[in-house]
Amino acid sequence: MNGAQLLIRCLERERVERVWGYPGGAIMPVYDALLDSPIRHYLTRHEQGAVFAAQGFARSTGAVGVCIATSGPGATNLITGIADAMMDSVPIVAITGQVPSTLLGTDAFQEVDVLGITMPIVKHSYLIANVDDIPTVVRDAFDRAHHGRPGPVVIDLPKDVALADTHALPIDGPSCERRPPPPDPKQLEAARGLLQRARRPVVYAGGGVAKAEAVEALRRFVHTAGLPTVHTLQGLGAVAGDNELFLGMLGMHGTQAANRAVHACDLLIGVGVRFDDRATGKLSAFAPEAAVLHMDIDPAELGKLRTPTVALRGDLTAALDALTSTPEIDSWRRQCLADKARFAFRYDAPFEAIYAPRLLRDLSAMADDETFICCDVGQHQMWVAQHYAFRHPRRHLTSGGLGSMGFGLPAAIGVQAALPAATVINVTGDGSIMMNIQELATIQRYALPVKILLLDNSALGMVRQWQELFFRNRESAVDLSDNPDFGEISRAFGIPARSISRADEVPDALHALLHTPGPMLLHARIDRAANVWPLVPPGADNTQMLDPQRQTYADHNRPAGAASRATPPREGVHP
Amino acid sequence: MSAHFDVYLSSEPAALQRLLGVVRRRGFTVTALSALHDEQRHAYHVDLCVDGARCPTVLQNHIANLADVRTVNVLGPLPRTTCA
Repeated sequence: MNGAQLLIRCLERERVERVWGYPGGAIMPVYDALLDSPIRHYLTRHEQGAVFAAQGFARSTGAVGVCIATSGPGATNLITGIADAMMDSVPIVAITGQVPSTLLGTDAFQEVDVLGITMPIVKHSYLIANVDDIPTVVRDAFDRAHHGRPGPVVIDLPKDVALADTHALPIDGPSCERRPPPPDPKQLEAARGLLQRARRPVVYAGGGVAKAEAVEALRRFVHTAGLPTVHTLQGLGAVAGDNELFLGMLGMHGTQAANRAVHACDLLIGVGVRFDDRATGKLSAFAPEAAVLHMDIDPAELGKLRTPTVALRGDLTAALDALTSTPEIDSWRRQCLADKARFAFRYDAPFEAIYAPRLLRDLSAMADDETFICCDVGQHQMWVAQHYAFRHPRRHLTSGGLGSMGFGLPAAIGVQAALPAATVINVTGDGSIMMNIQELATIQRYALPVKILLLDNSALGMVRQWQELFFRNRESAVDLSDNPDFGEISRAFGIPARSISRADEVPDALHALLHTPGPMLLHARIDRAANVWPLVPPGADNTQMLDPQRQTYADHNRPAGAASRATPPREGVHP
Repeated sequence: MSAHFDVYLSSEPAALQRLLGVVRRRGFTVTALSALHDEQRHAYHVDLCVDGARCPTVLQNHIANLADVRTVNVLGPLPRTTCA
């Protein structure tokens, strides 16, 4: 057995059933070994597609996703996806080929210092020097990717090591599950005291909840206590989107109800959150009157940006169950729910053009609870977050921390490959889809029934919106009016497509998207001038929301009876 | 504010680079550094002084998260600080 064969045996021991990748010179021994393995390899058409597909698998299942690339450009094409996994705490193992050990440091063909390049964007990385180390490295890599705060791990394998003979064997059995440490009893007692004294508590829950498998515990905690709850982008679905106590997403494109509740609360209960700037706005004005109870598995997050009054590190389920109570907060709850009703989104735009928020609200109503939504990045991503009622956070895949355009389509491929019977929809924009459109070939090759909902405004909409609001409407490099015919592109890959441009076409088109067997692209033309509201300007606090829909409406999203367009330009504010 | 750390790192490839990378990325500069290889313990013993505007306790937690780090201790009391 050689090193590459040993590597594949080790992956099998880790119960890896599928990998995504792209072959090349230095990784050829591994691709040869794959031929004799039950592991299914999915050939993407770019390494970035492979790493985002591995992420899609990992985000939707909670298991470790695996991608493979060759040395040099193969490895560097993984970089965005690895960084993305680091920012959003996604467990992946990226295996890269490397030039032979004797050529390391000689500027050899397709040599790049993968260990050095990836150092700031991985949980850990290995350059294997000895073939007999492969079993230990693979076990350690999967263990590190999965346990604690999840994240990406890189294994760089020189070609000579891959070809070296070995008698080493994989480590028996898969990695053992380890529970995180229980919360400190003294801190728990202090947390109970905070909860007992609180009169205006709010739960602020994020992506760490699902990663800790604490969704049910959070729901018990929120339901028993009747706690108003807001979510980060990654937390959406932890408390179901249609739950009365859920006030919406907080932050830059959050709801008025969510941001007002956080601003007014006297106890902020952060669960699996990292006080990200898109959630907090101006940090010094975030929840200014609140004591903070912060629960997280990563000690480096506790106090990183906001000093907690009480910090609980470790097992979220244990902590939430231990803190479940029934506080007397009826008046506060009524106030939060009144705000939720008062500032609810409106969908009664009377125009012929497609109103993207309404389309997404309708999709949410028509799709079943198990549908996976894989977003790209931009306005459509925020509209999904605002208007799609997620029932579980693992059904919502979105590049939150890094904000990587091009994430959605390959992520959907990763989900669909793992869950062939699931409905998987990539919601994308005309900017984002072009970032990895080559992966339509992957969908076609593996007969994956991925649905694509393309909201096309012929522009880089979010950048255009910011230029309109914060750069005196001076549009720079955002026009995409020369987009190709997306329907023709889709059909060229063997994927049926339909194009719509009127609101009255939406119901039938969504029905077709959801019920047509196999893959399909639905191309919806929307208004170029549509903006995402509300919006907290950069540097402002979360109470300073721009929300022209509350007073007047732009033509493209004006509900019946509303007055004319009024945008609120602010000069001198920069991201 | 300044901080003084005593760090034991497994002597794995790139362990020192990882340590110094975290210090830089988290907003600190190195003001003094010595590193000795302890062959018996298969480790580097690092004496590290840093300066920065952020909370040193948070940096300590970030260092502790590195896979190569066996122990990280603060030498002497850290300055009292608020991290918000």
